[in-house]
Amino acid sequence: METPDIHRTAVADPVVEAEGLAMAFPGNTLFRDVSFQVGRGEVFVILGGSGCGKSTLLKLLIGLHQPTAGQIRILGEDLLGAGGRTRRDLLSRFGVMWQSGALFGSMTLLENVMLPLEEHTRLPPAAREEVARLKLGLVGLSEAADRLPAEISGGMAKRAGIARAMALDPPLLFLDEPSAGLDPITSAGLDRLIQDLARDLGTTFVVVTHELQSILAIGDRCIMLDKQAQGMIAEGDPRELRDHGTHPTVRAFFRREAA
Amino acid sequence: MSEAAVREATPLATAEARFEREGDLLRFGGALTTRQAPRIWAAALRAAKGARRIDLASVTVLDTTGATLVLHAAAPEDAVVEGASAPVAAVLERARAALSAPRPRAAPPPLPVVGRVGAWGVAGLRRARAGIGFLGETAAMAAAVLGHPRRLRFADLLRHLDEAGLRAFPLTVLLGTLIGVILAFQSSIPMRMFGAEIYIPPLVGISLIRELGPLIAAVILSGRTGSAFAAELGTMTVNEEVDALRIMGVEPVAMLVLPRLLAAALVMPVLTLLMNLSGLLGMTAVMYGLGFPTPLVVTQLEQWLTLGSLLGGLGKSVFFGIVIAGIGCRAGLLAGRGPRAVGDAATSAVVGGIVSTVVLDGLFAILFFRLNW
Repeated sequence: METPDIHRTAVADPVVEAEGLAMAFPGNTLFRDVSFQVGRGEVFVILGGSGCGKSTLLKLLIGLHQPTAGQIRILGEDLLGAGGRTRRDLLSRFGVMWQSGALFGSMTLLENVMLPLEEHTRLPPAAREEVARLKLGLVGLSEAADRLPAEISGGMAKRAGIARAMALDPPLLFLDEPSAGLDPITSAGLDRLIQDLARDLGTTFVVVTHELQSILAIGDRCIMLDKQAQGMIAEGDPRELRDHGTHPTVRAFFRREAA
Repeated sequence: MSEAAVREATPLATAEARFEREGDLLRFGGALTTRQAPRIWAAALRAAKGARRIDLASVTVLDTTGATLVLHAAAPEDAVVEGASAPVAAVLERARAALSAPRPRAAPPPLPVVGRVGAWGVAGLRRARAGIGFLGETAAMAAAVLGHPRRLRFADLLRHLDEAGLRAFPLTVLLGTLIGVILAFQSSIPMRMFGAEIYIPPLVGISLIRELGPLIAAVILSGRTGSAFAAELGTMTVNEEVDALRIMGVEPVAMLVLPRLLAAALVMPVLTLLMNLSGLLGMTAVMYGLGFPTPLVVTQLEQWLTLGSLLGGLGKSVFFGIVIAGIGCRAGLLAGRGPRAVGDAATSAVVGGIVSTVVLDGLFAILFFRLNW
């Protein structure tokens, strides 16, 4: 399924490795033969139109679903094959920001961020609170620490979701549609935050999105999935793909043309 | 990518976090990360007392948790942090900025007791007003729909009849039979002392058709259907679907509440009758086991049970159904915001439904007593 827009890059120190991934439901193949590597410190974007399987691919990567075929390695470990302590250890080394934030409604933002610290570290309680406050400070939510998720806006919920995902300072963060449904200013602020965290903390980001501006602003590299092709139709630098993409869907996507 | 990013998988990150104190200097070393820092946290903060300089030259990796430790150690004496490599300094700077952001304003002090009682009273009055408003709106809408029966959504009515009625049949039969069996067994011991076992059928029969049948059917409706109404309408309220209906000019009460009220009013006598019959069957089985032939039991029931008792029980069950469905719908439509709202609505529907059924049953008892029914 090689297409001219797939420019594979050799990654020296891969954090995420996907090899020949396929996902099919009875009577419906979502995608097949999806392979890519994400290098340490990269902001890697998975993009594509609605229904192409972006979010499903993300769920495969974080081990929520089992792929129909293929291999996934996260931070050098096989997440699906790992059990017991190895799995628990691996789960503490990446964070996920869910599309809606997925904050626990009965806890304040501070308590939401403290939860992974309680589960995975032996920090004294006061220190846990301080570390959690710092995480909220990183995403600009210090003043909202005592609020409940129901009392904050969608953009704040996403930022709080990032803060919780970063609670354990994981080297790898998965973000599902971070800027979907946000106004351009909030969305740009979130893009900036991702860039800052990648630069200052060296965090690797795997971002699922279809927001063109975000992709061009934050993406070091990207892959593009397509519903019709049932798989990847592009891989590379998003700006390169915008300027020199040849696949009709890639061109239409980056030029915002109707199919 | 900064060097600070090179973590866990690299030899740098596995270097254990450490600290040492030399005069007024506190020196940190190794990987100050979420994994390593908790080990030395308390000891390092104790050692930091009085330190005026903090040296980070030997720190190989620093993440924001480690940065919190360093900043805390530096805070009491406002110690100078020195020797940090560029990436470590970048993380530290970012953490310093994040920690110095304004904190939430302190919560206002709690109200004094009198104020709290007042607030509780005002909230209660508001709830009562909303409840009365709901009652009025429902009554007005019911009257309007009576004039134009086409406004009632029959497809919805059928769905609710199925869900609240037909699907509750197995549970009703099971509980009814068990109640009949239990009542017959429990009453057989004292009745035997008086040689009055032959009066078990009228005892169980009258208890069932006048009181227990409607009451237990109401508990089933409240637990199964009242809570489901509250959860369904509560979810719709939280998702702004109810607001969308209002804006489209569709009265939520006409579309959502009336079919449910009507369905509950219609299924309750059926459930009650089923409960009564199952209970009598259970009792008959026990009586058979005690040596009383079935025709004798039937004759006893014929002699003692009146149509009036049966109709009284079925009649009040209609009111139970309306009250339970009304409380369930009201709890759903007045649900608050947030994920707990739906759960709270379902709870208040079940509790409210059962309590009001019992209160209403008490009123019926007084009424029937006065009417000598």
